[in-house]
Amino acid sequence: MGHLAFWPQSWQVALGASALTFLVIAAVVLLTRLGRLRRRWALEGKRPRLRDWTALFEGLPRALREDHELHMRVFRCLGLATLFFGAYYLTWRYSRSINWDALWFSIPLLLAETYSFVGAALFVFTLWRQSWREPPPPPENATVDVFITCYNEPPEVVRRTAEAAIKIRYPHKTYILDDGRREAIRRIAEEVGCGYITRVDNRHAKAGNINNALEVTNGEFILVLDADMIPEPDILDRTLGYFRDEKVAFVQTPQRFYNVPPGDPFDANAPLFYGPILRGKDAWNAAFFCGTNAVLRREALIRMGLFYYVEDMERALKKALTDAWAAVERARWLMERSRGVVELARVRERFERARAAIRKARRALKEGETLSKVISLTGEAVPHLDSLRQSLQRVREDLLAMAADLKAVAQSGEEPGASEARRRLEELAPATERCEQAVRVVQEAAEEVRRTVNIEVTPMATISLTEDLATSVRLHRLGWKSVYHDQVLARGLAPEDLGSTLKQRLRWAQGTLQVFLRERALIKRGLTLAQRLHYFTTLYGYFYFFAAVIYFLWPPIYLLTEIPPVRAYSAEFFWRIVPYLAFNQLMFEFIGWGIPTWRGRQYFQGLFPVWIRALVSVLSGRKLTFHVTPKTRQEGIYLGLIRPQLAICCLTVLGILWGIVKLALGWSREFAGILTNVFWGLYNLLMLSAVVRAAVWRPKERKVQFELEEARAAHPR
Amino acid sequence: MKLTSERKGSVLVISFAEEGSLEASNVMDFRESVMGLLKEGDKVVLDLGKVNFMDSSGLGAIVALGRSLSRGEGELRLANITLHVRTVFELTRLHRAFEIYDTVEEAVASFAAD
Repeated sequence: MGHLAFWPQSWQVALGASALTFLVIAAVVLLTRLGRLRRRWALEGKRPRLRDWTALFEGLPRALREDHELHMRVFRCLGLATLFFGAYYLTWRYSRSINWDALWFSIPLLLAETYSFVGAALFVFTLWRQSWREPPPPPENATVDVFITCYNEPPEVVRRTAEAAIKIRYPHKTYILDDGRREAIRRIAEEVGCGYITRVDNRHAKAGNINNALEVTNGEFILVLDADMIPEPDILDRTLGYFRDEKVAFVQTPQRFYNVPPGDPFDANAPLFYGPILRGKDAWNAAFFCGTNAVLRREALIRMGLFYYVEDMERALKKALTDAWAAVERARWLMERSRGVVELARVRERFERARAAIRKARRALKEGETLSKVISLTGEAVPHLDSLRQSLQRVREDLLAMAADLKAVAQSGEEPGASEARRRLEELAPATERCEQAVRVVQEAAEEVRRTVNIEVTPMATISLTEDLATSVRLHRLGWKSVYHDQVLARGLAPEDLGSTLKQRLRWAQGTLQVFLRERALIKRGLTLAQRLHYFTTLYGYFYFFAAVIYFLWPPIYLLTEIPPVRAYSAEFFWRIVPYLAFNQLMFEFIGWGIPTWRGRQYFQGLFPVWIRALVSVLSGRKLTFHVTPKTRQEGIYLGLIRPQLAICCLTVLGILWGIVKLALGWSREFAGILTNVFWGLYNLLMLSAVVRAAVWRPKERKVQFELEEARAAHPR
Repeated sequence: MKLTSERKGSVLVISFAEEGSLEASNVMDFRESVMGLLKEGDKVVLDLGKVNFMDSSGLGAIVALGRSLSRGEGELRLANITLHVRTVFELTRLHRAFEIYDTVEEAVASFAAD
């Protein structure tokens, strides 16, 4: 495009557009403040003199952080500049810079850069509009149940939460939902004076626990608290008001942790998420329920549970019947292969009956019969499957008995009987094995059908490990509204070691991926376009590992081999990439002004092996189990958990040293390339340092009570 | 909550003694009363003629009742539904979950026809 006379050079674009951006930002800031100032003067009836105009610049840094309107406008300018420079850089990368001699290297890097650019665009979209809310006064005479969910947390922790919950000012009833069924907790409930709810099993973990409690309580609203989340006395006064809007299903408040040491080595508080991101989602009615510190409307939960009951039930029945049909067919095929060896007449009859029963239920389902009819027909298939299994078992026993007899003959050594017996034994072995397999297959099918027939109505969606996200998606699909109230109203205990932190992050990642991949939440009807985009953004983030791995590997690969992923580290390259990265960084710094977001970004990149594991486990469809995050300190050094990260660190250090040696001794002339990659290598080391530090980090012993007071003092509300 | 029950052949017909609602505030009461009347494996017709208001907790109780009956050999069928309650059923798509009949007699007869 250089042949067009007026087409600007890349350095002109870089400098010109940067200058323009800053001018626009300055204009936006001044005009916004001018508007404010003139309104104030008008109210005060003041005629400004020349020196009064200095008020335009008074307390500007503070206004940039705390004047929400101004903050958002400046963010939008920075966001648009980032996207402009990103597009400028990427078009050049695609059209001019691919190193065709090393496609294995240059293509993945280009894809990673594209991924990041799309991610930046989604980030700008997420934060484009944010909501800062002030709640309406709470309704009078609303009935509220406070649920404290617990499983194996130390009794002291539960007691402190229960005591604080009792002290919540708005009238309410408090219940401890104890999935651990522990005597100590029951006693605490009695002593503190709150309800105590247990159930016979622990099905569906926390979601199941809440479902169970919903059945035996009747408050209009439910405050859900994890066992360690100590609520403030005004938590209900500050949140119930939003429910004056009849369509609001839940109000989420932030999670904060009072045992977090300075520097937050595990990024427990996630201030970027419980802040700009949720406020941004809230502006589009796409905030999600995070499992604790939220108030939910019972009517919404129950109605959602009922609504999805039919859908879930139909799907589960369909699956169970299809699986049962396939199981019976497979068992039959296994048995038919032993035709010459086994007497099949009676078994065949049982097969026919089981097939007929399943067929009948499937037809009823297909023809749209009522659910209760289909369920009862499906239930009728169970005894047929059971009796099929029994008769297969009998065949197996016959085969085993026969084998025992033949063995005796074979061992007697009386020819010709013995060799005939050996021959038949050889025939019998595979038949027996197949028969055993058939028994197993039929048994599993019968169990699945039985389980399905007994599915309960579950208001709190139980499809995935993070019941909260699935619940939000379902409520949004039914047109309910959500609210994020950005004020800390409960504080809890964060995991204090890397092992527990990694487990927790893995569970979140698995849960998120599960909701989207198995439920296909994004393509189902009901969500608005903006909600879809917000949920997609959440999902998109979990694929970052792919880009992270490439970014981490790229500097050492270059430094060790000198194969450039771009055609050349030329001036053209720098004039395009530097403004892009600079504005990207500036945008993050601006958002992170006053809130520590850096740790979150380090974790986002540094935990790539966790995201990979989550994706692999969800795609492979293995059954995932819910692990309760340990809230008590697990001592130890956890370097074993971050082997991939350590390997990358070593490789990077090696690459940097080698690069410097090459330059120092004059073995290479790629100054620009090597220096750039040394810089990126150092940046990556900085990124990974958080995870490494967390692995060797040891907490100091301190009194928890003291920490809570300290946390309250440090962040007055 | 006052419920009445009557056996018609092998079918148990349960009705509400007086006009009223089935909602979050009385649903636990309803569940206990019903459970007192039932034997496992019962074929039940629930006469909803006197229920003029129902919220989703009430619906939930009926679903739960149906589930607990079909866990054995039993089944729940509904009869005599008021317009409001039918709307609630349709809003949640639960009309697809139950067999609903206009009169108690039809519902009882439907069991005999199976």
